[in-house]
Amino acid sequence: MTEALAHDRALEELEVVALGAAPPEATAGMLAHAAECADCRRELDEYTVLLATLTELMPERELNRGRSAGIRSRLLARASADIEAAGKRQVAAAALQKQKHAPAAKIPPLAPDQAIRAMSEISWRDDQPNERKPSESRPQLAKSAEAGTRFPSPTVLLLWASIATVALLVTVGAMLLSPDEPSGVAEAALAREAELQARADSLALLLRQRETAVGAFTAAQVRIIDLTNWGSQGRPVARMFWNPETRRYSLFAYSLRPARPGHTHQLWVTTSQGRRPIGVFQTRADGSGETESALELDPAGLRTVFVTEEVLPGASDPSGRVLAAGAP
Amino acid sequence: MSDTGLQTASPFADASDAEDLARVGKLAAGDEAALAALYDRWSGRLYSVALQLVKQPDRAEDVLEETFWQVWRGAGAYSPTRKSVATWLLTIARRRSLEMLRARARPKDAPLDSEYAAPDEDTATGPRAPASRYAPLLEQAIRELPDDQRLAFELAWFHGLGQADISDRMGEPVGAVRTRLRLAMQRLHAEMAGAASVERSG
Repeated sequence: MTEALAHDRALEELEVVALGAAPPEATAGMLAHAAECADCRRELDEYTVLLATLTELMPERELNRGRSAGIRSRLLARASADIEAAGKRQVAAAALQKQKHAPAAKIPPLAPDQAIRAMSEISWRDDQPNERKPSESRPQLAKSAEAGTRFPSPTVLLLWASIATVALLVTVGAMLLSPDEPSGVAEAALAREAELQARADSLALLLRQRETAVGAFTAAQVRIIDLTNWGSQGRPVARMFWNPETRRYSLFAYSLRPARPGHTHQLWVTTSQGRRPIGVFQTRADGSGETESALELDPAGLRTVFVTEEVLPGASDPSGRVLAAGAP
Repeated sequence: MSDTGLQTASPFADASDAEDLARVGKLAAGDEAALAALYDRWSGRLYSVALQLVKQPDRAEDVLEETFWQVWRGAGAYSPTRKSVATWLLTIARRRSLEMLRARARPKDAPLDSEYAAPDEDTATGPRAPASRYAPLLEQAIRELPDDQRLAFELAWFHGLGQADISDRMGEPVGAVRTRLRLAMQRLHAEMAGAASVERSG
């Protein structure tokens, strides 16, 4: 856990931390102190205002109109997907709530928590763990608790979606025609319909995300690098997918213990020119985690990829022991 | 340091601060139109901040997108009692830029401006973010800093260098660099706080 600096020591770091020029350890210690010290927090905030004002002195650089439109479109698409995912969760939850009060269905329930579980298994990249997400945050990549089965197979997903659709029709029809439950039939049918529709939509969304992810990782040019450690007996504890053409990589950790409080996992590459950090990430209690970012590199120059644990927000040189490593 | 009233001040003299605050409130409720409006208003300024630090337009565009995505996701936690919307946005953009900058180790002797790319002719001409009422004062204050303080400050602020890199470039001990950075920041803070105080009393 990051040790908060004493007040006098924190004051010595305050201006340099505000500028972003202090080393990670001092920054973490100062921020830990400021979290408990209202005076230092206020002073830090005032320097933040000062620095925000100074951005006016930076030369105005205009953004290409077409590129700006592209960024804007991507942001809105991401926001829409975020809202859609959150909305489906709410609909599904509401439908399930209604189901508790509805007459017994004529068909066996279709694992009523499946849609909820499927949606909850969509992981989120959490850039700011302390910041609340506006609408449940964004979906990124589905994960499973078991390594190697991170996504349900497409066959299973299609089967679920098909079953949900058929069940929707059967249920609605059966309820409307049921002679022994004349009261509340319409309401129950609507609740069931909403539930099943939410379930089918959720599964379809999951399938689309899976297809996108699979497409990104199966291109011919994608390099796959398994990271192992002494305890893994050759089994990967993380796997990196790097596409030199798009200059993006994704790393999936399967069994890397979470970093200590105040620390983060940091990913490094070594090339013929030396080593450099390429990203930081956190893992969950079960050792799983994801990160993705840009990586511009001559494919022939990549020698190794490794993970260390560093003090937040990351280091410019590795200082912790290597937790996992791999080579192309 | 006494309470100067700067903490929640907006650095910009613009009545649209209230509109920004309303937009952030709508973001927290999942309003995409508010995201679009905030982007239209602030993308130019935030892009300039990012490009100044990361130097390459494509990287600055990545920073811009991720900045607004963080804004979207963090809107629910935004606290107007601690920061104005403008300060919040600019702080995120700068932090994102520094993260990208430091994830790509820059050779210690690389010329700081060598990576600038000429802007495209087809540039965005949307609404610009408002001008700061304190910026001219601060610009003058920076000019009046002693040379060693000004150089250290400019390397940190305009180029995103850490204290160790500044030490390497200036050929001076880290301790001396830190002292210069602190003195420069304190001087600029005093100038701004003084102006804010006059403004409040006037």
